[in-house]
Amino acid sequence: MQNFNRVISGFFNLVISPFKTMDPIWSLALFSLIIGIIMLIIFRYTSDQQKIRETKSKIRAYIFELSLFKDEIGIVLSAQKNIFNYNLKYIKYALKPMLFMMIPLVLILIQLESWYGHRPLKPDESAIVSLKLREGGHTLSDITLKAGEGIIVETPPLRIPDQNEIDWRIRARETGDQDLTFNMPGEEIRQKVIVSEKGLVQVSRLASASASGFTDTLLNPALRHLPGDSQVEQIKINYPAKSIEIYKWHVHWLVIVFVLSIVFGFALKGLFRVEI
Amino acid sequence: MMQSSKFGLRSAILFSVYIAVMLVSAGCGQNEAPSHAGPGGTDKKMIIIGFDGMDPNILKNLMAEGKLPNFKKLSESGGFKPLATSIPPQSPVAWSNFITGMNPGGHGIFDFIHRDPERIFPYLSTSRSESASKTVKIGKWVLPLSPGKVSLLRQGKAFWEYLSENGIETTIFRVPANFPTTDDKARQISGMGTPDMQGTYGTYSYYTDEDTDKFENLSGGKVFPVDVFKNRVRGRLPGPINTFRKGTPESRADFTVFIDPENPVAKVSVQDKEIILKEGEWSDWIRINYELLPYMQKAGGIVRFYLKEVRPNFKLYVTPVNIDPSDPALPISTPKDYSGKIAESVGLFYTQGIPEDSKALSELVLEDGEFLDQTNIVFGEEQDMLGYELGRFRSGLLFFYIGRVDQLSHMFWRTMDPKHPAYDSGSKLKLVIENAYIEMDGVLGRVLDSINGDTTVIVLSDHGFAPFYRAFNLNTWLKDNGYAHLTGDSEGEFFQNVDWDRTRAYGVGFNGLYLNLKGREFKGIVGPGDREQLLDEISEKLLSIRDPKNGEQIISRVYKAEEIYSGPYLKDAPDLIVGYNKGYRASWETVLGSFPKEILRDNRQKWSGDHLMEAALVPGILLSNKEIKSENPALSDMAPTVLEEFGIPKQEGMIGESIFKDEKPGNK
Repeated sequence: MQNFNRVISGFFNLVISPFKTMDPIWSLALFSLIIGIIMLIIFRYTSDQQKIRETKSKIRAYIFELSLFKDEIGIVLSAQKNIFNYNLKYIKYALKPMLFMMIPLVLILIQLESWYGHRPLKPDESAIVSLKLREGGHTLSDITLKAGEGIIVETPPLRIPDQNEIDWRIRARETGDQDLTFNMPGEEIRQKVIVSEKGLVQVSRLASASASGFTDTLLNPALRHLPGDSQVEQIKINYPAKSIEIYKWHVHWLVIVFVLSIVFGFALKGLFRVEI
Repeated sequence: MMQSSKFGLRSAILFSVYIAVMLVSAGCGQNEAPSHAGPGGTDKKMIIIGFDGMDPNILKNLMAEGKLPNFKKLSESGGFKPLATSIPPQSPVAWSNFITGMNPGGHGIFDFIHRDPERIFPYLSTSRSESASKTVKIGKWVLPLSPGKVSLLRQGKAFWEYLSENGIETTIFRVPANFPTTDDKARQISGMGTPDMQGTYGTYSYYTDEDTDKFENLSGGKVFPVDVFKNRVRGRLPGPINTFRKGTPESRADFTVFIDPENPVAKVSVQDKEIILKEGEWSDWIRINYELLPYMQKAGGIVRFYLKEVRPNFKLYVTPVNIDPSDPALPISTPKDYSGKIAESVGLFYTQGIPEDSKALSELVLEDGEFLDQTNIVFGEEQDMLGYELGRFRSGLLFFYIGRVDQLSHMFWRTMDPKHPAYDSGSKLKLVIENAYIEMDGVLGRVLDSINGDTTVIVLSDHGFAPFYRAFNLNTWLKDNGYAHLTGDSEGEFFQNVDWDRTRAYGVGFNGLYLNLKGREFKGIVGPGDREQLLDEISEKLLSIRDPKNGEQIISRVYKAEEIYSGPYLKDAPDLIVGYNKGYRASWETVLGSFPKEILRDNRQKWSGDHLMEAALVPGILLSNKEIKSENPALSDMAPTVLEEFGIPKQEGMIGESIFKDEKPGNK
């Protein structure tokens, strides 16, 4: 899974590279175009295009019938029943390609979330760093945190024993990849904290976790894996949420991708000869 | 098919071009360009800085000591004079004089507190909010069929409305008595009078496991007893009244505090936010969402947490839930998105009318140093916002208000006045008020540095300051002198125990005295023909009262409304306006219709300086870089002054004259 993630992340990194210093809307537009095209291709080759075409024709015909015989209540009701039935059929024919689309779509969206969901800390911005221990390992009071020069640890440790959790508040001082070092008996873990003023950077709130978590690995492409014998279950850095600004409105990236990929899909369906 | 394909390709290209154009526009979207000359085409520039409560005597002394170089520079360039305040010298009244150029008879604001003569019930004078008039009830839910309403009760046209009509760019920053902001083209954000999300002037929340018996008769906040269990504290943060529920309960947001077993540090977890605070630390602003109608209606506010103590006792203070300026639930700015633009530039900020939480200090929830820290947060925000406004100011008028001197003078007079009953000779805070003046000198310096030679700068305050040594219970005095009668022995509040069939006069607000007049009050007994004689009689007696402690006159002047007010709202004025001598003021209890046992008591509270006295004793300040020609300038002169600076004549109803105009005999 880790290698798979590495390949996919590498691809996304490559695509995003030219856009890293530009407004994120550009790269999101490109990904929306790619998603739109991928969805069209999948739809074309996994759906029964002929049946979809026929079904849509039928629906159009019954709508025409509705307008022709709007004074004939019997015909109107029958046409409405037929429109409803053919709509159900259309959904049935669209279901299979939808299922095929889901897998690549989820993988793409997970990647995009790691680029556009959160952003690095800015200088002078603070965040909570949480470390969770595995059951039966060290005690929380054994753990200390040291920060490199670009980070300040602002608070003493806040320990929550019944959750095996220990938290600190850190504050970024300088841009760059800053170091945190967690020390505990027999183990030292280094954790990178990304501090950046602008530009697209892949960050994950779940920064490090033990290798066993498949779901965590899948959902957090930027996740760093801890050694198998580590007593630490996970390390989280509470990076701030990122929002994209369009015309002074703050919009979630998913909304932009959703809208633009639909727009691109419909715009290009003729070019790809796809009946949607 | 071929044709269809060609059409598809063409539409795809067109679509792509369209999307690209949209993206370019979005990607290149910049912040609003700074304003240049307004549509009126004027390049005239004027900046007015309003320092609430700045006193001419203190200012003069500190200038003489060389501690206020910028004030000195300004006074040398155009002049420094005392500025006659309003009668009574209360901020909402005084700033309404400033805004309209009228006296209270013209703008209708006579006191912080007015009363409804139909019920003799006190209410806040500057704004009113009304729920939806038509609703439908479904189970436990109440759905509105018409919108609710918030209205500004200040009457009279604001001077900036005339400026807007003449196309002059105007920004009015937090002037009191302007909530909701007026509906015109001037950029405005509301100030004093703006409520918090609970509809009050600021209700803090305090969570503690210490003995809460000492917190009684709280008026500025709520104390919630909590238990620390397994190093956790659970609390509920009260929010706005939920008018969508039957019985209009208070909405709440749950939070949990995790405390470290040894270290003085805690984590507050509220909704999807987490913050870690050390003991003695304030959090940044946190957005809280209150769900009023599931999935349909939410109300958002902002709070700051202050972790006062972790152990031996847990003590957590939470600010009043302020209206979120980035998504305001009530009309705090014009245009509506103006508050959001400020927040975007400088971050979230206090929006409640008086952000300094003096009640939390008075009620011993915050200590002196903690209150100062809180006011420093407010001042920091004000400085950021001043920087934002100065940065975008190109022409027209900028008015900017700062209430710091007023609030610190109220709360720390006791630290510098050995005659004050609450004076502590060992206090380390003796210079708080002086330092506030020095800070304002810094603010002024920043303004002066930002302007060029053709900008007119005016610095003014709405009133000065004086000590508040002794509190006078006006209603008790009226009772003891046979003008008011009670149905029982209790002190009561909101006039609940008053025998209106026998009461001839009552006091409401800080300086108002009303007769129980036939045809006006709901159970009036004083006939119109007896009014004059009764007013004369009461006035004479009030002026003759002496303090048994030192023989001093307590009330130095009493005005009849018709002697000092003019305009359409004279009918709503108190019959008498009581002007207290320096050192005296109406008690907190009497202003809301309570009848404490004693007539006078020492003021041992933290709220130790005041100005709710005879207006002539507490004038404000006026400085300008342009020669002040008026001999006796007054607040009501400011509106005509501003208009004339922009070439607009004085408007009907305005009683003053431009301060830059040569005074002719009989002008004032």
